[in-house]
Amino acid sequence: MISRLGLLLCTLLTATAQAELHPLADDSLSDVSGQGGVYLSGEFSINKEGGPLWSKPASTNAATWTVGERSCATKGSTTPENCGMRLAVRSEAAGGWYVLDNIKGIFSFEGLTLRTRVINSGFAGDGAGFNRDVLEFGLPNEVKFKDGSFAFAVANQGGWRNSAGTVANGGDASYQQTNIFSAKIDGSIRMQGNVLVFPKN
Amino acid sequence: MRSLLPLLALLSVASARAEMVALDDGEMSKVQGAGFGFVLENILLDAGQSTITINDITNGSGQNVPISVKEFYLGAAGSNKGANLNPVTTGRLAHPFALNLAKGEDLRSLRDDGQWVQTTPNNVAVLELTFPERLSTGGNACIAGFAGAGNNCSSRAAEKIDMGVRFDFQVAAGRTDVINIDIGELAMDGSYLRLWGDSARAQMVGEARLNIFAKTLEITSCASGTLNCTSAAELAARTIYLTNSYANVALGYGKTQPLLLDVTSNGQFVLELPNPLAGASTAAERNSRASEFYANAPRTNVVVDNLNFGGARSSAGVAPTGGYNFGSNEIRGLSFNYLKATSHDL
Repeated sequence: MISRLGLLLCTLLTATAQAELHPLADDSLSDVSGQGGVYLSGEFSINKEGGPLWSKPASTNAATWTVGERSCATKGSTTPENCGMRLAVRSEAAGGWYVLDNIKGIFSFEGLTLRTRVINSGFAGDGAGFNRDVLEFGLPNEVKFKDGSFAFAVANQGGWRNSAGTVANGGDASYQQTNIFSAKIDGSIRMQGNVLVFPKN
Repeated sequence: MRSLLPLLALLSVASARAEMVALDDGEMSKVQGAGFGFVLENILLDAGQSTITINDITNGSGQNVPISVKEFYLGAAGSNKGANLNPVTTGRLAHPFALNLAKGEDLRSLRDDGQWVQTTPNNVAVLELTFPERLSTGGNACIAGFAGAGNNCSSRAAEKIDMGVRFDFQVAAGRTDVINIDIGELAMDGSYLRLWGDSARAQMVGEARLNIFAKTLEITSCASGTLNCTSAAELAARTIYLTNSYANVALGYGKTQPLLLDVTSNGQFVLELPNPLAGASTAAERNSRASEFYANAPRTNVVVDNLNFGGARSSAGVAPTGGYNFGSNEIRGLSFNYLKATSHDL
């Protein structure tokens, strides 16, 4: 099987080689310079309608949730809400977990740029001595958020369990999660400028 | 598999034309674990048009106390508390923000007496996030016109930033408590966070230094334009003014007292600075560890050259007149022998 695959690859290689590639002359090469870069604008939505892990229950009372149900509504609210993405990290062999929970929302931006640039002047006199290439991330002038949210928490297990539910409903009374804080973001944030990245030695 | 080999050989011949030359030993020895530098060019952040709410902080009855984040901005110095925002370039090409991966024995920290000392243990790979560095020679004033904060910052006057944020605590229906913070001419040179794995503890440990140099810092307890907070005099009466203030907060001494940020196995947060002598079995070892710790562990300093409640500044950056002047306040040379803070569910 492998030898046949090798034969096929060789054939393909031969087929492409027939296009007769000519080497570029030195002066043609010297005309080529890295130009342009990338300009991105877009909108993306994360877990706006909930993720695959949990579906939205009918009530905010955790004791009534069945297997696969979870609401991430703010404490005190009576309207259930979908839950976003969950990211859990454990930094100690026998310890608990740091959790970024309920990450969701719609983000849109216009004009995120990525390109390289030579810096050999400016920067209040620092540029001339620097004289190197940098990678330039141009921030979009405005980032719009709609129902963006996340929560920072600590927990004794990486995966979420319903500590208030009955065992029959997938509950686990030993599960402990403490939300340190959570945040919600709506509206637009002005974010302008460039982030210049370069190797340091 | 054998028939793939000619193909690979063919490909390697094609690429060999680029003529790679092997590094000799002398060149190899110059290669060190280095990282990436970051410079923020013409940066401006303004979240004035957005609604940011922080939840899950509860009162004594377990009810959520929403905190609205308002008037968040970051821009060039001289912004007049965010009223006149301009972009700022912070971090210098020669002294940038950096993300490094280095050996513990190669990292150095600046001691208060100006000596650079090793604080991280040997034979560990350390991930380090640093702010623009402090310099041994040729530095700039960390706070303009205040020599007490030192002249070893790499950031120049134009690279300092103004930033501010206002928190509105919706304590109860109809009552909102406000904390409005505005910082002028901020530099954070010499701050760093270092993280590595401690195999004996089987966890991630670290050490951190947070340096804050600010020409002015103002904390106001009301929102401009609201009841009893409309005139300049009413606003000033609810303001705490700090002038020429700096803090060097040192958390952890990697060799014997690393900073431990734990989550316990029952899901509670623990911040710990262990006893540097823990685990030393003999008196000689305890003595040598203690003298090493006292000689080299970075200290925490908090200095406020002028603290004033109420009153008004005659011009930007000048200590206010009027109100109550609490003069100069300092905490110097604070060293943590042991610290352990644990969260508990209420």
